[in-house]
Amino acid sequence: MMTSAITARAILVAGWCGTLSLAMWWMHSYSIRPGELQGAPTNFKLAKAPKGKCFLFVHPKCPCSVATLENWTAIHRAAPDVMYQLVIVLPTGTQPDFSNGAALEWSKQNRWAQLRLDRNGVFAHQMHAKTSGEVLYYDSQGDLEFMGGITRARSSPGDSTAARTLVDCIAHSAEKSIGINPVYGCSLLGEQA
Amino acid sequence: MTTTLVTSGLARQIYRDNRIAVFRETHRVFVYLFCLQWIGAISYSVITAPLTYQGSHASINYHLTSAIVVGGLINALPFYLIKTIPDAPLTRHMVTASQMMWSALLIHLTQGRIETHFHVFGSLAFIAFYRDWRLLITAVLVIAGDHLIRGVFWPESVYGTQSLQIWRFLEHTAWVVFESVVLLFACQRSIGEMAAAANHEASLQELHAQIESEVERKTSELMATQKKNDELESELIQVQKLEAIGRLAAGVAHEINTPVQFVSDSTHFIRSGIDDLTNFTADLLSQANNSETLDSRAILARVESLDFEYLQERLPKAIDRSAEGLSRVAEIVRSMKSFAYPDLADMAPADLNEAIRTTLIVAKHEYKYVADVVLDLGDLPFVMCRCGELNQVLVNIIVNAAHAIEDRYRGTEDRGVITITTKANAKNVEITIADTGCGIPEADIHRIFEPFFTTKEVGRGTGQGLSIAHTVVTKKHGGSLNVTSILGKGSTFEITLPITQHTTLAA
Repeated sequence: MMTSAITARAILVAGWCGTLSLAMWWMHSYSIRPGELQGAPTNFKLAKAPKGKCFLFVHPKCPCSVATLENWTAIHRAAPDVMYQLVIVLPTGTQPDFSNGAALEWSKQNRWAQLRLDRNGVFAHQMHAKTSGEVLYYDSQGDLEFMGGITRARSSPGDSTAARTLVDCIAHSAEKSIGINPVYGCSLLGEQA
Repeated sequence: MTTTLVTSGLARQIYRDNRIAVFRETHRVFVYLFCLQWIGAISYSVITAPLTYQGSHASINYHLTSAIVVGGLINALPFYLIKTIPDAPLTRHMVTASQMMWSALLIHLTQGRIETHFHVFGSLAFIAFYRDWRLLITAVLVIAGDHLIRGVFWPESVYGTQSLQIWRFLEHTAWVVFESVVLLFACQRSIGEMAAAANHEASLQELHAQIESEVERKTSELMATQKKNDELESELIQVQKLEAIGRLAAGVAHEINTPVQFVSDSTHFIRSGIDDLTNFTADLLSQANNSETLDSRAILARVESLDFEYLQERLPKAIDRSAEGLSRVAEIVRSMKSFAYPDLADMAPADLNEAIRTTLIVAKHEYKYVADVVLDLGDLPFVMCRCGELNQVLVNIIVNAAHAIEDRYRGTEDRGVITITTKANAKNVEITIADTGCGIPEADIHRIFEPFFTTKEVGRGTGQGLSIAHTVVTKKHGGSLNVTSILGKGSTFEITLPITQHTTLAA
C-alpha cells in the first residue's frame, strides 16, 4: 500500500517534470523561430540619401515591433547620418485607422525617421518584405547591405548580434558584403503575401 | 540536528506540531503567491503582447499562451500535493521547485530582463518561510539547471544576449548559493528558537498540569470541607429548631392546658349530673318494687331537689364544650407535630399559607398577650421547599416581632399588630411579616443576620434565630431575606422564594 503510493507519487512528479520540460522547450523554441525572409532587391534607386537609407517594415499591430523600434533607435544613435524610413504596412482590406498602434505612436515621437503608410502592402511587396521587423539597408550607391531582423528573438529588445551587424554594415559599407539575419515578428500581409 | 535541542518528549511533540503549523501556514502563503504570479504573468502578457497577426488576421500571442498553459502547469502539482499530502517533505520540495520554475517563466516572459532575476532572490526568501534548509538545495539545483540548459540553447531568454556563455550560469548560481547560505543560517537560527520555544512551552504545560492537579486537590478538600460545613449547618438548624420547640413548649403546654382545664371541669360536671340522675332513677326503681303505687308528690319533690331543668340545659353544653376543647387540643398537637416533623432530604411542594397558619398556632403563646395578628394571604402556588425549615424561619421572625412589640408597649395596656401578607408573581413567592414593635437601631440592622448577634437579655435569645433564617432562605432555597425598620415604629421582613417548575396553584 505504502509502496504503491510512493510509486504513484514518483510517476506523478516525473510526469509533471516531463510535461513542464516539454512546455518550456516549446516556449523557448517558438520565441526564436524566425519569420519568413525573402531576398530583397539588391539595388534600389535612392534619392537624397548620400549616406544610404535604412527601411524598417512593421505590422501596425505586431507586439514585437516595440523591441525592434527600440533597437532601431539605438542604431540611429550609432549612425545618425543615414536616412531612416519606417514603413507601416496596412494589409489589404484594412482601413487607414488600422495603422493606429505602438509603431505610429513611436513615429510621432521620433521625427528623425520618415513615415510611410504602405496601404495594401504595395511597397512591402515591391521590396519582398514578408515579416514585421524586417530591416533593409541600402548604401549611398543604392546597394543592399543588410537584410533581416535586428532583435535576438520575439519581443526581445537590447543586445543583438543582428543590430551590431547592421551598425557594422553602415560603418563599413565599402566592404559590400550583405548581412542577412533572421527576423522575428508577425506576417506583414498574411496569406496575401 | 534540531531535535537534540528539545529536552523532553512533550517538547518534541510541541516542536513537531509547531513545525507542521509553519509548513501549513507557508503552504497557504505559496497558494496565494502562485495564484498571484499566474495572474501577474497573464496580465503582463495581455498588456504587452496579447495578439499576433497574419496580415489582418489576429490570433492569441504565444506569450499569453505560455503564461496560461505553462503557468497553470507549474501550479498544478504543488496545488495537488498541498491538498493531498500537506505535511510530506515531497510537497515542500515540489512547492520549492515550482516557485523556482515561476522565476524561470517570468524571466522568459520578460526576455531575460535583469530586473526579473530579482524574482529568484525573492523566491528564496519565500522558501525560507518553511525554515527547512534542505529546500534551499532544491531551489539552487532547479535554478542552476534552468540557467545551464537555457544558457546553452536559448541564452537570449535568460541572459538577454545571443552569445553562448555556458559558464555564465555559474555566476548566477553563485549568487543564488550566496543568498541560500545566508538563509540557511537564518533557518537554523529560527529552528533553534522554535526548539527553545517548544522547551519553554513544554515546561509551562507541565507547570500548568501541576497547578491544575494542585487546584483539583484543593478543590476536593474544599468541597469536603463545604460538605462538612453544610452538614454542621443542617445540624445547627435542627438544634435551633429543637431549641425553638423547647422554648415554645411551655406556651404550647399552656395553650393545651386551658382547653384541657375546661374539658376537665365539664367532665366533672357531667359526672356529677349523671350521678344525680342515676341515684334518682335508682330511688324510683326501689319505690316501684316496694309498693304498687308511686307517690307523685314525692317524685316531684325529688325532681325539684335534683334541679332537673338545670341539668337538662347544662349537660349538653358541657359535652359540647368538652368536644370543643378536645378539638383545640388536637389542632395544637397537629400543628406542633407538623412544625417539629423533621424535613426530608429533598425539597417537596408545600402550601406556605398553611405553613403560616400552623406556625401561628404553635407560636400563639408568644404573641397573643401583646399583639393581634392580621393575615392577608393571597393565592400561592405550591413552592418546592423544605417546609420544616421555613416554619422555623417564620417562627423566629414572628417571635422576634412579638418580643419587639412587647418591648415597645411594656407597662401600657396597648397592643401591637403583626401583619402577615403573602403574594406571588410569575417567578417568586413573597411573604411579608410587619410588626409595630420598637424597631431596630440603624447601627444594628446590618448585623442582625450575623451568627450570635443579639440585643436581647440572656435567656430570651441566642442570636441564632435570624442568622439561621437568613441561611435557610438564601442558601438553602435560593431566595432572599430583607429587612427594613424604623426605630420606634416597627420592622418589616420580606422573604422572597423562587417558584420552581414543579408547582401548581394551591387549592
